[in-house]
Amino acid sequence: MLIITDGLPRGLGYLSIDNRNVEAPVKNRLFEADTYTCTHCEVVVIMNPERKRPRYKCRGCNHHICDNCAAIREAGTPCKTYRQVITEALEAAERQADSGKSIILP
Amino acid sequence: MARYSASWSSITAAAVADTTTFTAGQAPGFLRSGAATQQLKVNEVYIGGEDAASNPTSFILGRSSTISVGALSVGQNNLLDFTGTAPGTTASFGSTAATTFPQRSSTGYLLDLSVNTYGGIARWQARYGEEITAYGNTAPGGELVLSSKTGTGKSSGHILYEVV
Repeated sequence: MLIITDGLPRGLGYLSIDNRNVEAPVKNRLFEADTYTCTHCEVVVIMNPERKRPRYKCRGCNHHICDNCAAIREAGTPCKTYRQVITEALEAAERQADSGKSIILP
Repeated sequence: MARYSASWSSITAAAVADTTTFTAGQAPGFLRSGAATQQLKVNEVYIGGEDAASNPTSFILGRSSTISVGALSVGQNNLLDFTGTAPGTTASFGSTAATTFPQRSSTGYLLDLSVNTYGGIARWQARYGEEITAYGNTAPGGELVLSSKTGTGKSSGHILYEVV
């Protein structure tokens, strides 16, 4: 069994900024980077290959989150993913719809 | 579920600050959920620069602080699967709003695709399961705005998304 212990995110998105056809002085002709999506706020994090600091992995959702959300999480705010927010909103809407259908008998 | 391509052609963006109301044709487009309980999942954004001179432009995909109102036009929004059936309520995409234009939230940046539109290309693909979502028909969750914050680059491109 393979156990990955480097703490890096797995299964990543992909960002490409391709300036190879730009006929102007450009510092970085082709920039390619892995990305991951913060589960708490859904911001797309472009992984800086030069970064040495570890990336924060939330123990609540077992997923890497962005630095802003990591700071909030470290301050003691419990884990709540964006999907949970949407699910709660959907359920609330469903409950509201159900309650509208109920018949109150005298 | 129905997957869509929202696309725009040769739009010259204006540099619009956060929480400022857009006007017609200033941004590649606004992608708005069609109902109070509709969810969209964006899994690709592609921007192809079309300027004839150097024009570094910072395209932001972010959430709206004020959601657009009225029909959205000037932009294509088509099912990817030719044999697919559109859901009863679809999402809207366009760079012109019939009634009220949106504003980009200052706290809802999701992607910052900086590119020189003198032939530059920016493309982002989400990992499966890590798509950017929009939900409902109120700000900030109900609409995604692709617009320029700095630079006035001319571009064409697309946003691939799924209506859940």
